[in-house]
Amino acid sequence: MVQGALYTDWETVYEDNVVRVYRLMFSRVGNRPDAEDLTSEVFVKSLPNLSLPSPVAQVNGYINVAIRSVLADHWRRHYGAPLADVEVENIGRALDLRPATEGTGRAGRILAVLPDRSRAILELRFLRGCSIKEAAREMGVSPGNAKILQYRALRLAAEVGERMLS
Amino acid sequence: MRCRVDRIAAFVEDLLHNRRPCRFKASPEEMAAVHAAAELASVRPGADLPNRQFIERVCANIEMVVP
Repeated sequence: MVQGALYTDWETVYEDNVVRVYRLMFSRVGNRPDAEDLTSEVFVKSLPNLSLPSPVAQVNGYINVAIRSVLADHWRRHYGAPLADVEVENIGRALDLRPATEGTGRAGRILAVLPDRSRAILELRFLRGCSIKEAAREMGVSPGNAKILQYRALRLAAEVGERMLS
Repeated sequence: MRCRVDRIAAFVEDLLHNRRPCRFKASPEEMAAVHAAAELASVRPGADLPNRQFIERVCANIEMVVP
């Protein structure tokens, strides 16, 4: 149990942190299978090295270090991202995630400042769940051009996201 | 350019179907698009909530490894 600012058992450490770690992982990888694997990895790797009782802040710090390490390893292993390209310095920001609600939060703010066609293709795909053919039809372009629009819009969204962090 | 566009399109398709996405060696530009797509895929309401079976399964795994 948490007594004052101390964790005294593993179950409470896990129950207090599992949802926030999972949601953070999901916000970084965008899919359930990877988010589940990475969340599991964070706890299985970090908890055996902790001794209890320990201060809550210390345990949370330890878990955050494990999150950074597990995420960096994921991007490096599966996408060849050099460490410098792995965004691991803003874990604290993501830990403040509120429940996902359509059009709000950081992603909503990113979409809001994109040029019209970039915003439109991303909204059709990610918010309305349109297939690439449906999105292409809505935008009056070929499916091939819709893929190009989507790629360029994602790169623009990444640039906007970077500016928001800096 | 075409390869990059198709790789990212396949990656997005996997995310939108909540599948484990395709793996590939990404250029820095593709990596930026991958990160943006992953973030956008998490904005649908409720998309980022874990299911109860997963939480219980990991808890059981932890019980086997903690002292």
